[in-house]
Amino acid sequence: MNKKLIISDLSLVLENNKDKNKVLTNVNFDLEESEIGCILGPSGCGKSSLLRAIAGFENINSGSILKDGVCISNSLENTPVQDRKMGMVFQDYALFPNMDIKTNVAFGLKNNTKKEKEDRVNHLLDMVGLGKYKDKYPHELSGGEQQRVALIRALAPSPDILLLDEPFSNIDADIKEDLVSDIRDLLKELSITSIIVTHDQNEAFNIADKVAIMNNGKVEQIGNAYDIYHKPVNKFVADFIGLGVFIPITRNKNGQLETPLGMIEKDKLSEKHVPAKDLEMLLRPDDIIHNDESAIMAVVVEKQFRGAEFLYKLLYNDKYPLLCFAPSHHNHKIGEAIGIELEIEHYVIFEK
Amino acid sequence: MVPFVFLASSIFFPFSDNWNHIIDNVLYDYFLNSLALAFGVGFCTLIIGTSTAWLTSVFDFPYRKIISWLLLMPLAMPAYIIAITYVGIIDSVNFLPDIRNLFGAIIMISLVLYPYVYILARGAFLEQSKELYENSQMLGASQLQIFLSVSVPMARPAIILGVTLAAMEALADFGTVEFLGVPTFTTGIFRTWLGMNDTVTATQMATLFLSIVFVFVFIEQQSRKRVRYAENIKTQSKQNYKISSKKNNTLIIIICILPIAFGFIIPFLQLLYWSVFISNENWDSGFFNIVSDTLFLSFLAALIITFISILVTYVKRFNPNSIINKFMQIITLGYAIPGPVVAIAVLVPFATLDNYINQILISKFDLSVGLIFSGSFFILIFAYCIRFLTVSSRTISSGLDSISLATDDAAKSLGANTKVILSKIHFPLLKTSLLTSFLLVFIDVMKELPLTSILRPFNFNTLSVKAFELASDEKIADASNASIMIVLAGIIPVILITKNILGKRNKV
Repeated sequence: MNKKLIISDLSLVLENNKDKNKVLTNVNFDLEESEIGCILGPSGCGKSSLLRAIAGFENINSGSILKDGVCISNSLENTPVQDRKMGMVFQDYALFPNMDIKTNVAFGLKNNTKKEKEDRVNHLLDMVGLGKYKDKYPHELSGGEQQRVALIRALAPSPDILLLDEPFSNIDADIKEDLVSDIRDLLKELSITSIIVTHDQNEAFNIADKVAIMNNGKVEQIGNAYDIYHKPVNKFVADFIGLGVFIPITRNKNGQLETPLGMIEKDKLSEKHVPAKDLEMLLRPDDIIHNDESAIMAVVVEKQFRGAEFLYKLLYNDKYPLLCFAPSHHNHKIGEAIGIELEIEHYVIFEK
Repeated sequence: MVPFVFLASSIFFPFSDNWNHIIDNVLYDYFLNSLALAFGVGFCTLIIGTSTAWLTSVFDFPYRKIISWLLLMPLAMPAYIIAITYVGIIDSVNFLPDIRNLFGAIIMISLVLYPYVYILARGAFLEQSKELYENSQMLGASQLQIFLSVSVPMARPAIILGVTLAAMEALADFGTVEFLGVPTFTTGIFRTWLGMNDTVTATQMATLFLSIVFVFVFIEQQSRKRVRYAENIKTQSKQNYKISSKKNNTLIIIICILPIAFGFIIPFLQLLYWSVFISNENWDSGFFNIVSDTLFLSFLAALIITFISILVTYVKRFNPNSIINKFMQIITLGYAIPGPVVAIAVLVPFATLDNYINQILISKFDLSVGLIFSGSFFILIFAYCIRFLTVSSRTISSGLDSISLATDDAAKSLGANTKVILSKIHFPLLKTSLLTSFLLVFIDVMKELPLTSILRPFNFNTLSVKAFELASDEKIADASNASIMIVLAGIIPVILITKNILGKRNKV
């Protein structure tokens, strides 16, 4: 029971213009000390509202939020934002435009002498390589630099938990990947418990130890990146994460399960999928291997060049679309039939 | 709020016999003149404002920068002062047509109000993308075709907004039409009230008039919505300037100089001439008393109104659905209501209240306190609030809107309480807006005529009232000292507006 943060059965109703909107329903989520959690979901799924509820900007309607075993929010009582010891990095950074960088960073420092504040600010600025900018104003900095200032401003008062709301959404794609891993390294070095909200799965997989997939105000699945990609618990998660197609499953005379591409090996099938309803199976592009020798042929309908590999969109037996990654020296024409074979580690089967 | 309820309730009072006279003889004139004034001014400002805006935003010609700035100068000139000045000029040369008629009033008011259309249209033209312009050229359109079929239609919401503002201000005008002897609704209400001493009829006329004004306000607010929509479409590149041939340069400069000359330079030089060589009014202690009275009143009003605006805008920020906010939407219509109407709407209820208080005090304590509300600065400031709260609160709320709500949240998450947020973040960021609001109200009060002249306390005089009194007594040259002071003060907001526009351009 040394969880840093426990959210249990949290529900939130927001009122605007007399409309009541249930934005979060029975959300459960928890984090260990110095774990990096990520809330991932499409826009409007309630992920930002969840973050704002944790920060204390929204009062929750039921359930509770516990920090270090102490309740900071339930339907009756809410610890004020100022007293929660949480730092937050906002989507548009929300730097104070009237203050220079060092004043921005020092804003949350209290009960320190002037010297201590100065040292702390300088230390933080050096840590993210912005020492020379301390007398500049926010508008004189680039987006990436502003983001780092926002990050150390939130870290300055040594918060117990750091919250980041879409921190990379305004960053150019070419520097984003480096930045994401830099920030992961920094958070791990400081071993600070963090929660990141994002709609970008690559970001989530690169930075987080634990990912919660949200949709329509509900948590659909919690797990690490590998499990969420390869063992999605429902169709929404399977669809939302990664690429893939669904193919139908039928039952043959002997009662065995069969796909248009072949039989399903029983030993790889978990018990819960046996019910004899209409079923379908998720096929990721990495489940299908391109092999010129193979007897199973599919026709190339579309292709995307991705540098190291091609993503081929195929049509099998004139009616089943498939996706397949192939090394990029396997350059096939559209309309050409190519050999494929299945290589499935995990069967992901859902009811239709 | 009370004043408006009072006005509306007036229609339930019995209609007096004066209505027969008014309907038979003058109402038709009032109605027609007011309408003609509004449409006339709307039309003239449309022509002057749109054409100068287009010329200065599309063509590059010598002195373009200084000319586009000078085109704003007539804003500094209150309409009644320009009217006084031209009447003085025409009287002294006697070969020019008389302007003491409806046509003259339209020209006078348009000369000082066209900058509304100019500012808004120019802003819209400058926002239009270069690609669009080049595309039209590629498709073989001439300059004039582009102007009529691309530029103007795209800038239409902004132009309509400018024209409506000008028309509304013309409708609310009192000083100019009174001085030029044009009977309109505004002067009619004034005459019925103070000339015929029929308060009930005057309030009933005011109510009728307000219903017409609300139609204009509605049009304005609709077009404001569309302007916001138009601004949302961000264009990537700014239109760059076309260099025109030398022959056209002269023509363009002449077209642009005309409104500046007639709307500012000529009247200003004339005022200066009168002030220096002709005026019998000395710069004596009496005059300086008036100056100090004017400054005192403007200062007090600006301070109070800015303070109320701060309260109102903060209520709106933290509680956007509150009743106070709805109520404010009604109160801020005050800018569209003519001075005499506001005057009657505040004076009658407060005078009644004063009489009531005095009656009670005399009967109970044998004590007479005089007119506590209606005879003091209170009622004057109250009336200014109704009239100028919009100017002030719009300025402040646009400043406050630029501080994102996330900024407040960020400060809170860093442990700051409301006091710290206000003093360390909001105040430093709002300083300019607060100062602008203060100055705008200050100058507006200084220029204001009908409210001040009706509601001012006994023996209290301002520059605007003094100038108008002297001019009405045919001492036009003597009014020049006071007029010049008002015009000089009026230049300040023009500079502010210019800086504001330039500031925005630099940020983009």
